[in-house]
Amino acid sequence: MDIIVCIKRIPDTAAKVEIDAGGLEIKKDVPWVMNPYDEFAVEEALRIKEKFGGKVTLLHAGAEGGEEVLKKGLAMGADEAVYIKDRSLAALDSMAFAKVLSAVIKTKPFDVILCGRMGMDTASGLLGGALAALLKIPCVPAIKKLTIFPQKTALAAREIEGGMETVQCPLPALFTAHKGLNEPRYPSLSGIMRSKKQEIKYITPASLGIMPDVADLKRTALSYPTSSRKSAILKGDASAQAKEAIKFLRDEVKII
Amino acid sequence: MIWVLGELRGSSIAPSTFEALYAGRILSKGLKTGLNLVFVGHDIKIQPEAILKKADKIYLLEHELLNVYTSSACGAAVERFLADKDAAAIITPASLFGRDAAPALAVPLDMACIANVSSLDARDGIILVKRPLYGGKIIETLSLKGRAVISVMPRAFKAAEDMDYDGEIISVDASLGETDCPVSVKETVKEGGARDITEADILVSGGRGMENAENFSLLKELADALGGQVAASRAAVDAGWAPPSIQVGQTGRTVAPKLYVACAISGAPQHLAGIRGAKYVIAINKDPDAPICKEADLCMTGNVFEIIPALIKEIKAAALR
Repeated sequence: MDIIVCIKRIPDTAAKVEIDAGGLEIKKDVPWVMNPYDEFAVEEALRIKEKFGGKVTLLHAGAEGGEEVLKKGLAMGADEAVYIKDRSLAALDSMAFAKVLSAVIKTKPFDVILCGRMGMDTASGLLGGALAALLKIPCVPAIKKLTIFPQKTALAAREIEGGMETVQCPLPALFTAHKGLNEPRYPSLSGIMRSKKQEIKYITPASLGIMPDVADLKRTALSYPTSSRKSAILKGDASAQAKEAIKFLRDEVKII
Repeated sequence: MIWVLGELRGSSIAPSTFEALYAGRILSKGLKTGLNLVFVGHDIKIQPEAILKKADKIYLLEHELLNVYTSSACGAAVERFLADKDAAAIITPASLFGRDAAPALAVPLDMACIANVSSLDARDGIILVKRPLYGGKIIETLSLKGRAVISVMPRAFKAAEDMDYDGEIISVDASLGETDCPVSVKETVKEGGARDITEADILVSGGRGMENAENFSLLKELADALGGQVAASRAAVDAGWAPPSIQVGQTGRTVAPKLYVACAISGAPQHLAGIRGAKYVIAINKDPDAPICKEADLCMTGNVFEIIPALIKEIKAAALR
């Protein structure tokens, strides 16, 4: 099986994210990590390879700093890492990323494409669906279980509104990984040593003959959410506090 | 023309559809164009009075292959239906349904696509949207020149009320074949019937300080007294006290209920980011200096296992009065 995994780099979700002096970018000096949902995708790809043989290729598109997440994926056990690097890929428009990534994928053999169900930076969850539409292959989003059959079909369990469903589709297909799909492995020491020798392949969008087009969609501002909470603190006897809370529920929230 | 792709739950219209209609109306006024609604399914039975005064035309795009929703079939049906029609924007709820359908439409119709939008405006042919980034720690404003599929965040927009639309319901046979449905649904399992927490009016949420899974029944009791649903922090979900589907925060769901009651949740930045949209927040915590108290309108401090039962008692007494 040829498996392609698209990975993204995001600020650690525990990090404090701040707007830089220009007002249109965040400060870059935060800890950056592989998008947690993408870790499930990498792990699942490795498991498929361990079962059927084949090759796991990591793809990352971005403006800077992608080497770290690609090296992590290689250390986990991936065979190849491709970095589509260009300054134009600094914006967070998933559709532009999908166009660039699909152009690279079209140059490669693939049976399974995996990506995270969403990037925890934008929480858009568009990439998988857009990639599948561009490649004209089936898309199964938010999977929690995946079984691949040698005759190139797949059975996947996925989250739906208020429950789960099991779907079947032919390969090649794209799946987006949800929490619960697996427990991603930590890179082993030998994996880390091997990954140091593995080279990252760099590609520019221009070499693919594409120009990422983001002219229609432009970021005009970043701001902090405003909070106008009153932060009234109640102390002392529980039942006296409860009576105060009732007043609040009746007079302000108006639900009693 | 602005199009709203509506969501169905069986034979009823999902509440998120009315919020998408409200968002659609903002664009239709701003861009001085009409507002149409389209539903996708098979043998759709909706109450006309729920919808007739909310849009110009309501299309029911039907095919037996649309009996069970898949993004590929829904995308193909809507894309073919809209291919020869004017569409400045397509609005859909940012539910699991809308989030899947949006890119499946945007790619073949060659439109931009923006997900999980919390505010919308349009003037001089430009669409302005805001969306939360980094779990709500930052708000991004984007300007869009051109056509787009936009999914709107649950509860960020009001539900559209009846207006002076003279709606007309039109059934259309969708053009679909077996090749449009490579994904087939083999089995569906419903879980407990709890509604999606992003749609709840009132949420009672528990964190690490709830100590164990059994104590979550206390939260259920408070939620029932208030007519709400139970949610949980990441710590409580990681401890196995609550399912991931009800996790609030950057790694779970971003919620915007009318009332959010945070019980024994200290308030990590990722959690606070996920509740910024709540209209009112009550915190119940042993520590008055916990970060959650600064993000709450009212902070009850002390032993949560004494405060929650006292609160339940007072709510029941107040409700009886």
